[in-house]
Amino acid sequence: MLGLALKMLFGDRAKVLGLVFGVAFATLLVTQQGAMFVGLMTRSQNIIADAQDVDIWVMDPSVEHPDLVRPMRDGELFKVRGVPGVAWATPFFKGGAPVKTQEGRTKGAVILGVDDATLVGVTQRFVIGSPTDLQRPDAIAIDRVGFMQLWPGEPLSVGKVLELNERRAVVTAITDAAPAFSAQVIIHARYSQASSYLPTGRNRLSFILARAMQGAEPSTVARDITERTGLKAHSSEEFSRQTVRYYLRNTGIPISFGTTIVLGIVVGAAIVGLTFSMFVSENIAQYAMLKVIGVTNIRLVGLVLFQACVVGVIGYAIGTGLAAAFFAFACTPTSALRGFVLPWWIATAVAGTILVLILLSSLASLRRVLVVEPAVVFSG
Amino acid sequence: MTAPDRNPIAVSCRGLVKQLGSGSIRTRVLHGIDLDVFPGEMTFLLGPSGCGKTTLISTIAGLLVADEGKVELFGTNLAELGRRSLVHFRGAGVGVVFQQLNLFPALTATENVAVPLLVQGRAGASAKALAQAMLREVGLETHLTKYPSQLSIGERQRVAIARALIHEPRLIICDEPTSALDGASGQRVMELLRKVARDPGRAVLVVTHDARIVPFADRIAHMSDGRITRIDVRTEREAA
Ligand SMILES: Nc1ncnc2c1ncn2[C@@H]1O[C@H](COP(=O)(O)OP(=O)(O)O)[C@@H](O)[C@H]1O
Ligand SMILES: [Mg+2]
Repeated sequence: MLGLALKMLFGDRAKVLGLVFGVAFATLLVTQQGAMFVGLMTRSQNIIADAQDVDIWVMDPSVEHPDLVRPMRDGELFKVRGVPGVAWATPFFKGGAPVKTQEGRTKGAVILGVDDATLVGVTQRFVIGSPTDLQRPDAIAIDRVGFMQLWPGEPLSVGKVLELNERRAVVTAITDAAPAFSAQVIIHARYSQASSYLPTGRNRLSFILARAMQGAEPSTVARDITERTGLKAHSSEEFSRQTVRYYLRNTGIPISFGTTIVLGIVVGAAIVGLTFSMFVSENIAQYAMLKVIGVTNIRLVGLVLFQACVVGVIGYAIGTGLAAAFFAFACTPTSALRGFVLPWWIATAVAGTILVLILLSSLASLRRVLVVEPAVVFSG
Repeated sequence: MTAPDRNPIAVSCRGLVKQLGSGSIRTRVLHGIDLDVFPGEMTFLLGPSGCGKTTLISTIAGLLVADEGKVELFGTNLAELGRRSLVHFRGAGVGVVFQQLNLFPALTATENVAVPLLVQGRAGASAKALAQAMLREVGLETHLTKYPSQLSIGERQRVAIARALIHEPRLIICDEPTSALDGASGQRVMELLRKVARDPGRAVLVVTHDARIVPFADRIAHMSDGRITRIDVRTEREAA
């Protein structure tokens, strides 16, 4: 019986193509956009994600996300160190500056300065060299993609000299730092050096990175820090969540992605619904004949749903395959889209969405199959 | 003359009334039909176009529900069956060939004929073997894997009849089986149906207004304007 349903379905090639296209289209659009959105939200937390040894982020009370910092007075670092439950606390600098190669190429760079002695907060992913290479004079580490942008076509190598705000810097290591929200070169340096690249006033302390003592809950310690210092303090997870929430609330990103996703679902549903109802009405005589032959309504419903699900599975597989191919080919580690992946839970959520879409669009058609009177179809 | 006593009546209609359409176009199509169809016989329903023949056989097959009167098939009152039991009862006991044949265009001749067996839950391989045997019986052994679009109308008609016969229903109903066929193909189809009707347990009801095939009938119910006007019983066949 299911074989019969399949043959009936594929006997109508034009409609099968339309149906599969509709489902694949919706799947591709929703999956790709959904994953891009998640990827962007992940990027917004890049420095939090890279600072793996950090429990607690302390910042000026006005700071809402890592991309817009307001420096604190240097003395705040000592206050934080004095809060009970804090194992250690180190300074972290974040700023932006133009970077210029000796060949004259200029790019915007985000400069991250980590504690001179401990290097806390530096990315753990080094492609060439290691964090200790930052200890050398004028040393900076540059991210791989940044290197490729500044010296296009050249193999990755250390020893290159850069100008940061007219001050000399030597590339001593190359990292695979988590990409920033905007496509900037990511430079790591010692705190003292990084902050010297920028014409700041006395205050250059962007964040204080801290660790809770063994056994202490980071979020509890963070609350204590806020109470004692008046600074904003979050556990790393809280800060990540806060950051995402900030972008969701205060940027057009969710709306623009949401619009595309909703559009994908609506257009997909429209194509699938219309084509499927056309398929059913054009083949209504066949369903009616099945009734004559002794197929009950329940089985007929099963048959129709099976046909819809086959179309759904094929379309979903194609759409997800295309989306996966996009992320595999367009988001290589050295591309501007690096770090974007297709999370399994998005693929699963889209599968659920497509299932609902398929069920809804076959529902209208099902009614016609149920009420069809063979005698009316065949009176002639 | 009545049927031999050992056989129950295959179809018994009493006082059948059926209205079709709705609202102002609702019209009475059947005006109190009394009709008996006997096993081992070929019964013809003869009448002009539009007199209600298709409506009558649809009601007999349980595809339409009579507004008044009753239909009994082999002693079972259709009105007493539930919806599902009616579907199963029809599926197992009645083979219907409609005028448009309604073959499944995406299925081969063999697959088309196998459908009733598959619906009744028989395994694919054995359904296929039986379908092929049935197609051989109707003279289509060289067309087993052809699709309806690759067959002539006469061949399609035989596929449709094979599909109506495959599960050995006790009642076979054919609506205008020869109307689209030339004389020779029509004869061939009727000979096939007559062979079935020779089975003392099975009845064949043929709707037609084709005079060429009248000699095949054992019993002819003349229909006009929603009424049975006359019933002729022929005894020549037994005599011959
Ligand atoms: N669904 C319907 N609604 C209203 N009238 C119908 C409907 N179907 C058939 N009729 C009418 O019922 C009459 C009998 O139709 P039918 O049984 O198909 O006749 P036949 O098979 O003898 O040609 C015709 O006059 C036809 O116009
Ligand atoms: Mg008719």
